[in-house]
Amino acid sequence: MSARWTWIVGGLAVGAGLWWFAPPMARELPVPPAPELSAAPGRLLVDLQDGASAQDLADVSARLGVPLAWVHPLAEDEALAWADVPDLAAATALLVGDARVEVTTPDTEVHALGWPDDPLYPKQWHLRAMGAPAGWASGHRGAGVIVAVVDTGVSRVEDLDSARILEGASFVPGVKSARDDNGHGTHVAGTIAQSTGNGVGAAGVAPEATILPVKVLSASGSGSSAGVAAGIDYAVDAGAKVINLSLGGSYNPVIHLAVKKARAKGVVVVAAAGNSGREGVHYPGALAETIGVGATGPSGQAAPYSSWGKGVDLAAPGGDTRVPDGGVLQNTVDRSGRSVYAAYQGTSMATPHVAGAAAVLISAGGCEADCVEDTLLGTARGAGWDPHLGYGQLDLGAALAQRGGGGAWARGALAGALALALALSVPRRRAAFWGGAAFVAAWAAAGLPGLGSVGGAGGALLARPWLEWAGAALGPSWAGLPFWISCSPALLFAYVAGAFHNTRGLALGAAIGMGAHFVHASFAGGLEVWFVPTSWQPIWMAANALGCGLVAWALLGIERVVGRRA
Amino acid sequence: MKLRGTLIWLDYGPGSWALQTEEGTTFTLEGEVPGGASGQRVEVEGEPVDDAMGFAMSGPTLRVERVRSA
Repeated sequence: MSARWTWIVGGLAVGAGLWWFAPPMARELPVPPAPELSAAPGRLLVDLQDGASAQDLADVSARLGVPLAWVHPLAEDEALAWADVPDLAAATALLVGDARVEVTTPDTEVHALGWPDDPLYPKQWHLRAMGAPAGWASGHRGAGVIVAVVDTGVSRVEDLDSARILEGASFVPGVKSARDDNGHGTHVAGTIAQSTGNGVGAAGVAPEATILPVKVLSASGSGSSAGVAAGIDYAVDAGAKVINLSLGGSYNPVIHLAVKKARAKGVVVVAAAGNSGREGVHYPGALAETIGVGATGPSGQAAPYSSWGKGVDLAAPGGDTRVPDGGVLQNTVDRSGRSVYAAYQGTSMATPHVAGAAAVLISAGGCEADCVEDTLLGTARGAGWDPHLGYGQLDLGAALAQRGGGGAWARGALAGALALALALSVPRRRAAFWGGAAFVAAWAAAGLPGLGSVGGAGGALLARPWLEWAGAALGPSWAGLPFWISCSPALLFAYVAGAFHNTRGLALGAAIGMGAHFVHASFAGGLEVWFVPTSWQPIWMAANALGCGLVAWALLGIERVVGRRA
Repeated sequence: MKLRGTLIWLDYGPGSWALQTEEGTTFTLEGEVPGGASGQRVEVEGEPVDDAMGFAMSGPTLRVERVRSA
């Protein structure tokens, strides 16, 4: 076959590949679904006729039974108002046919592609340290998964999506509502499901998860074992798939039974190790049926307060408030019920990072309680079991990579096809050349997910796409190393391996594979480089995609010239 | 029971009061500690709660009945 025909056939192959794989990639883009009108509570947006007066607003409020407020002082001219209503469907029905109302819709979140524009996100080192960006980029954000926050309650603060907070229940004697009167539970809920990419406040691990508030701790932060056990039973009956227990105490058989029943029904139960700084993990975190979570600080070392010993299964960021900006930062309420952004520390703060990661894995499909626990523990970064860190530090990117999530397969297949087509275009091609190029391109772009479960620490590294190796080897906090998140590795590889005819195909594959990853990241996110502002991240990725393309083009040129001579 | 020790503010989550006894045990305090200040020497009257659960997770829980400066 002449070189021209190879180009044509190769081009057709790539085109077919793009056509074949484009739909799954497109599906992963977080396109907000059309809002479903349910009987659930939520925030209703009401667009009144332009020029509507304050009296109109009051009249419509009276009809609705809840006070409407202008969305923004400047929105008064647009006559756009909103209210938190107990039942979205019923509230919408009440306003049907009202001449003063143009349109009503539930307030849905705006999700940015790739990098969250939440202004406090740059200070949320803890989310980067456990790989939350890999979850957002995968498109799996906890949608449809109910996470029970068994705690001091959860309040409807500005940066939690009201439509995704269920009514919940209180098991504190004398307290009827599951509203938070302390601030602990709302902070925990924020780590799990803070609205992300909405331009407000902070981000969360699984922003599309549904929060079930279960109040078992009083305003002073304590409660009874009976209340906790009842709260766990209630959460299971209410359909929770994950239960977050940022609390602890002594062993109690009633709680043990409730946790066993939850596990038997396929519910993941995540619990804090304790804050004593000593050996001896608190219950229920010490139970075999829970994932017991220890805390790490910004350095990645075990936090000094984290209880340790048998029962610690996993470590996650719990913060260290002695270090500037070292706490876990979320939206919560203060003691007077006002919405505030607060940086806290504790194994209580570590636990919801794991609960959020579990929700992301469940929403990715095909993985329930045992699988979630095996995947999170199996992909944690650590060398064997350690009394402070358990099986290692939580790494959501590695967990998703092992499950083959995050668009990895599509990206790898595309890169492999592209490399194969290009390699076939050079004269005197050899199977080793084009085969090597296609294999390395697919590997560099997507990793080899199967290796994660069999190859130990080295296997876990090789399982990841090449651009994720810095984070995989040094920890997610290092994932944004500018040298690595650039076309420098491809260039270096081209310099070393591109010099020899036998390895030039591998260098070509590396450049194409990394380039494909940059292309994907430029619109879907998942990679994040240090020192580059959020809005410039896509530009950095696109520029480096181009750089990798140039490296590949140069290697092809060399191969053509050398190939003719040979 | 009556316990003497130092009042400390445990900085976990939004925080909570605890009593560090002279023997070195840290009791998480359940209930209000009006006018308390971290580092203050106090005598606390209260009852230990065996089945208590909480987010402080720093030691046994004591339900406070009265706090006096010591």
